[in-house]
Amino acid sequence: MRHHQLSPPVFEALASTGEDVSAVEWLLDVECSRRLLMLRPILDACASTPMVGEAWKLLVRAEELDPQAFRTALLDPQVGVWAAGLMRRLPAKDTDGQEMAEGEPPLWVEAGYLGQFAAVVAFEAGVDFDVRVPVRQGRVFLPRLGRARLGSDAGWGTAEVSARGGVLRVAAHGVTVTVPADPETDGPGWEGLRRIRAEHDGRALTLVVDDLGDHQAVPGLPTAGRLTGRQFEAWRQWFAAMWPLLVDDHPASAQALATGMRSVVPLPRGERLRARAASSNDAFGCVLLSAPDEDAEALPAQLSVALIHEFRHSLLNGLIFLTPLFEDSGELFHAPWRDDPRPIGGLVHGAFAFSGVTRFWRTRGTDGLAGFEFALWRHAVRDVLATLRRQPALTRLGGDLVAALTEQTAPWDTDRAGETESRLADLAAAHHHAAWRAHHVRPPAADVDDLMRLWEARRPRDEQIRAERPDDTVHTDADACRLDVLALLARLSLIDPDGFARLRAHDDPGTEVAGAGPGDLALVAGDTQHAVKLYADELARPGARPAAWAGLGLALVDSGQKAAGSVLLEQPELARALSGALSVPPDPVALAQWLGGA
Amino acid sequence: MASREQAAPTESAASETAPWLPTLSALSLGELAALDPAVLDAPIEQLKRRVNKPLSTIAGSSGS
Repeated sequence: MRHHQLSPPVFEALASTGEDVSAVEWLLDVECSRRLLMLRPILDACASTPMVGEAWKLLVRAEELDPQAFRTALLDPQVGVWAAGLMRRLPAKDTDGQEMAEGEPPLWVEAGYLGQFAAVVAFEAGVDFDVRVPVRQGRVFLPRLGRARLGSDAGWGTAEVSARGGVLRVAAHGVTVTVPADPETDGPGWEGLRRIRAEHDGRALTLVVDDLGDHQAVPGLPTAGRLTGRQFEAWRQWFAAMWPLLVDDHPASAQALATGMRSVVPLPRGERLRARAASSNDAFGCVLLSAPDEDAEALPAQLSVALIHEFRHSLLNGLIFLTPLFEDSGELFHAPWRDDPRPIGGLVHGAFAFSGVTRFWRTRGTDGLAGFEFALWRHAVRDVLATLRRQPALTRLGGDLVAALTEQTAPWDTDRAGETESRLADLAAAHHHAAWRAHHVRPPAADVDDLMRLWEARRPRDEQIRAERPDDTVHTDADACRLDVLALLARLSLIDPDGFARLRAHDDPGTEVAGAGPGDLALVAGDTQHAVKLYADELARPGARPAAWAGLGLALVDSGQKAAGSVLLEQPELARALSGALSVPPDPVALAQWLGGA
Repeated sequence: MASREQAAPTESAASETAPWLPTLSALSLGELAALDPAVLDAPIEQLKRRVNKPLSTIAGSSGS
């Protein structure tokens, strides 16, 4: 039997800062084989369950009549999440569901989903049929079509799905729901899965808006739930505004997205300039997105880049599924795009996704938001690729991927970005790194004790202690959040200068922009002397943000106190630990000067 | 720095992990069901190892 083989041309198309439709088509074929392979152990384990055997026969019949309808349904992200989740449960061989985790449906309900899948394929193939399917809390979801509501919300049960002459019905508990002729529309007892259809210059994008599916692509991440008609219309309009930009300015990306993306799961709107997005390796072609900021000027580019970003995670997941790029080493690293320490896999994923993000912004200019985003992510990608090149945990192919991305991104270092944009990007990058260290790096307790004794004795800092600490430990601080605050404020200053000015005049800007302090605003505005005072005031008070040490370091460097500032940027964790350990709170600037050797 | 030619995998690099996923996409469901289980044992074990490593990516600074 032949196997999927990663050829050098396909690898070259994948190991790229751009997206290539031929690589997407190849990955879709791999994904098709992956899902078919998942069906086999599911069938072997569950075929004796009458509902599953019946569903399988229907699926085989429908696939014979319409292989394309089968392939389309097979590649639906909901089917991928279902099959992967069920496979993870199969080793227990718990057909009665006795070992199910709290909140999980019984295994027969999960296995019975095959009937829902089969019903969709058979309906789309034009087959007349009857098939039994499980009912979850009074509802039957049919992937790609919608959801029938059958009365009682309690527990599990069975329903019958039938089709006659192209009319689809779902019946249980004496209730029959007839699916409307256009299944995307709602009807009595029926909620339709709607599609976003965007078209520009002959290029079409069609995405299922998955606000109904039974299976969560990212468990634990709250979704927006069922969109109202007005909310759906807003999503449709956002995509309509975004799509021409992608087609006109990023045609290869648009072609790849149109080929590989299948669905979007709406997430609740987040804070302004803090869009959320997610993806899962169980759900190729599915992107989870928060509602974008309604800034008519910035929205098309911001939505475009969010789609490219998440789609690139899907592409890399497809490659990693076929061939490993790294071994799990247990080591944790700084990732400039996250608040928390990340394993090597997170770095590889981020470097791959953000190399595409950087390429996107590079295409869009050197000034304003585009110039800032390009300069910021260029910096991030460069740093992370440098970290990855030192990692023995990369496989040979992983090393090849890192080398390819390095080669493609290195020339960007000499590209010009606007002066203001570059300054803001450098500030945001340095702040994130130092704020991350202040939260997650713990200096050895013995060193902190030594420093405390020296400080209290008014003696100079021991030069030996200033050396890089090989035994510093990364310890995830669950309180680390919104470490992107300087980047957020930089964006605000570029796209809404009046809003930035109003925020700067606010007595407590953190009530308007979560995580922001007065020192951050002064620093972004370039008022570094004032920023030094504001950060020092904050750090002298109880409950100061650990990230304020990072801000103070940047403000000190910019105001000419390089040694004092640099030590806070390189080892903010020392200042934080020492300040917290001293019985008399120190003056933060004096402490920085002392740590810096003054 | 690696050249583009070096960055693309050599034949040996590309076969670092031996191809393991059968091209089932070329089969009908009937053909899939009829496959000798022995043919699929090794791929299914590889599949289980991979599926048992669910991975989600979440972008954006956390608000919690």
